[in-house]
Amino acid sequence: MALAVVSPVPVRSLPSMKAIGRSLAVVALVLAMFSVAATPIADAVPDKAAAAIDLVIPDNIQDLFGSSDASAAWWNPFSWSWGTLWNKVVKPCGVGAAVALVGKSVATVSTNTMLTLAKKNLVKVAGGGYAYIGWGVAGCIIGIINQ
Amino acid sequence: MNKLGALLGTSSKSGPTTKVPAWVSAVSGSIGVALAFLLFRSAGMWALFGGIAAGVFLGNMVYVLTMAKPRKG
Repeated sequence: MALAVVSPVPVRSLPSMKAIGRSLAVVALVLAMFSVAATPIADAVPDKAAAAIDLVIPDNIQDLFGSSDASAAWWNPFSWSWGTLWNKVVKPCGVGAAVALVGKSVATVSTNTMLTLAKKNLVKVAGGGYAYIGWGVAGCIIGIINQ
Repeated sequence: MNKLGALLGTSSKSGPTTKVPAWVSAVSGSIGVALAFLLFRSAGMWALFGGIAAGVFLGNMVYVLTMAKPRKG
């Protein structure tokens, strides 16, 4: 009792909002990791997993970048199957990048609209415009994998 | 231009702002994408859109309401 009276600071204090936020973030991260680990991708989406493997190591790679014919070597762009490349790489990349960028923009603008209405400081994205380039690249990769 | 930049978080002249760290955006976006693909697997690209939008929005708001320090001046 005497110790508590002479103590200049309380022995125990409530956790700060910062600590609560960090704890929530850790819990959410652990839950997400467990939920991802509990779902075997190959069992869940066999066709998509097979398609992803096919895209990385396609059986018909010579159909994409030429044939065994010496006059149609892989380095000759005229021998490439531009239609297949467009459908398998360029289009899903563009769609994924567009979707990711729209999602990122919608999220940031919604946040800042609410903060404007609440008369609080707006959020600024770390990296500025380069952050949007990074999200576009990420969306491109996800789009190709997820086709 | 500045108003749109301020809403998008890219403008350097938009009054008092709070800088959201890249890790907040990346972590919350990744969690959102993972959960969206798990819960709405058949939605395809819409899951990506919804996951990123919901994840980043919630991450931003949690960061602003818990960890961000108000900027003076």
